[in-house]
Amino acid sequence: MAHFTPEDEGARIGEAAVFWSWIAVLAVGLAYMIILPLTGR
Amino acid sequence: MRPLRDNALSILFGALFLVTLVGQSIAGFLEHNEELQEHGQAFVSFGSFVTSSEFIVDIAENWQSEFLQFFLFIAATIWLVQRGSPESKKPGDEGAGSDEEQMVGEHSREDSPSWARARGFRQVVFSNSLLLVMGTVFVLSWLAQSLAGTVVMNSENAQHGQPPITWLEYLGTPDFWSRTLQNWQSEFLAVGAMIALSIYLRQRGSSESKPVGLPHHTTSVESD
Repeated sequence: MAHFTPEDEGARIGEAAVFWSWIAVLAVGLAYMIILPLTGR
Repeated sequence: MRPLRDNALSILFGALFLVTLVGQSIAGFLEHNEELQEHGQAFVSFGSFVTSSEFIVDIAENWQSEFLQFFLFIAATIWLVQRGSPESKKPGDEGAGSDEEQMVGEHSREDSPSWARARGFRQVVFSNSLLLVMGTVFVLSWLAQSLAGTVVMNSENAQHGQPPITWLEYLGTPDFWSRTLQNWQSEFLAVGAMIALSIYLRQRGSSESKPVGLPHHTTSVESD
């Protein structure tokens, strides 16, 4: 098993936060842009 | 602040995205109300504008072209090369690479992602996950452009006393293809220019450039 220092662990959390934030932006943006026109607005 | 430094590139572009999106919404809102005023119609609120298809179609047409650009760039760089460009693998390295080179399956490392160590479906999905996600965002944002474009066109048709059209009919209109192709051409120009210009030009310190002193014929540092 690989061993990580607390500093490494913090860096990994930062990477994950960045990744999932961008996924969230894309998911919310796409849902917004698809659902609203379907309501005829 | 190490977390900020470690993630500065993503944070910068995320902030630029939000600032420019807000700027686009304000400029678009003002322009839309100017047009309404010219036609003697009532103003719309900012909330109504940012939830309207007029606003969405402009965002979606840019999103789809950006993600198409990266989708094609990622896919094309598997099989095609440009000698001398740091954006490319070196001539002779075309293809998806062996399992050993890609460190998958039995060639994975102790710290490889679990889906790289897996076999079968999970490994295939993970091996192509970047292309799959970029392609999905492209298709969905192009769909959004077409749906919002249909609503906008039908709103204009109603103002001119013309009958509404269906979504499928909108896909065949010059408006849909004009919005689409005007974005595609600029993306392909920029990607092509980046690939070609980086053969002879450098930016000291940028990961998008070869080191300044590397010969022009060298495609990338790793493959030299």
